[in-house]
Amino acid sequence: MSEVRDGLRYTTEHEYLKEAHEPGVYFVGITDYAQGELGDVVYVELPEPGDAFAPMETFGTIEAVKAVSDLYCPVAGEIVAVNDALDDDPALVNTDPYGEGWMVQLRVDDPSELEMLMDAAAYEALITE
Amino acid sequence: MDPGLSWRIVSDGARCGAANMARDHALAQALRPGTGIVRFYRWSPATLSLGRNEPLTAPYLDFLRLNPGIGVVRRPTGGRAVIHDRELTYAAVLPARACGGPREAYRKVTRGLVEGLRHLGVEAKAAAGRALPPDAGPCFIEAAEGEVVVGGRKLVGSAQMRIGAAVLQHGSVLRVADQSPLLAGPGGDGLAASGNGGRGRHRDPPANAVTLTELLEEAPSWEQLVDAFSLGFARALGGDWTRGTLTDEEQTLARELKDKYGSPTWTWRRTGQQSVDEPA
Repeated sequence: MSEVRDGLRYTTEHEYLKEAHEPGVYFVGITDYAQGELGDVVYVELPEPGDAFAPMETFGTIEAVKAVSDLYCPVAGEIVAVNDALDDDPALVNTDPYGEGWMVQLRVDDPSELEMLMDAAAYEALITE
Repeated sequence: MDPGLSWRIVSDGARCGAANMARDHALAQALRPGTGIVRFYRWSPATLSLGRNEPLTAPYLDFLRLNPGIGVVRRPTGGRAVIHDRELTYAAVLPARACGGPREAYRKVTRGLVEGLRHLGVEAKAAAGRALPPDAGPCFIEAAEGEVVVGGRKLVGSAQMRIGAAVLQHGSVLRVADQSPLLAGPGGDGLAASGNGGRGRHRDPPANAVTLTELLEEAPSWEQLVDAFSLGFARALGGDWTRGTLTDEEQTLARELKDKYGSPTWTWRRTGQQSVDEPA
């Protein structure tokens, strides 16, 4: 059974946003369900801090076994940090997707856009439908 | 698998790496709901393809310098390096949701490959395997989870990408060339007997890979391979199957995407150089 955490926002592309330590900045990663579907993650390609993305624009890719998937920016914003630990240990996405396996920290242009994303209950319904 | 899917088989010609990757990508990007496509194709010239995230390391650069007639292209999909030379290449394009997601698609395509090989008289199975990072060396050095092996040796190497609502999975069925030049590492001999000037010398096939020629003692013809794998995929994937070609829309898209796959910026990404002769 995949873990869905309360208090996070979710996308239909199985990404989450979790509040970081600074107002308006959010950790972005893929959900426990997504990592389970992908299998063992072997490589994560991430952007540079300072890069800006529109909603649903591709900000990177993730490779699991031999399958590559795009990573989509959930809402408009600017990358303020990337998780360099994934260079050496991409499997953190599998072992701790909501913690050490975060991918980028995103400064969201308009926090009200988060209301358009799913809460935990809605996401739970999506992955069990 | 949705029994109502309509499948199109495209028995395509031989093209350069950029054109082949562009056609695979275009088929996935333009996939219509309720349909799937299997394309079979070849390469001219013989080409080294790299996984999307694979570094172009010194052994590959040595190989390309020793074999200036060999093309090089970077795939949209994951995985690691393959020499495409007198093989059958397949590309399966499936609707992601209807086939149960990328991992289930991988399993179903593998079943199609195993069924196709059975029609040729080869008993193959899916490897247990393990996940390998993009810098782990050439594709055929080891079978990853779900790849097709015969007697523990890899016969088909496959890789996948999700493109919009579609899953693209393509792979190489080793027919004649056994990947020795890559598996030999630095100082490899080149493509033996592939019309590249005869740089190669005979060597035993690498223990981890096997070819259809070795298994059947004679290389099956292109038509035999297309017929066998068409039957195999139809059996594994169900639905209605017809033969066809690329649509005008797919061909237009492929022409646009060819620029990307032929661009040095794409091919040499993650290397810091723009050609085989430029120092890193």
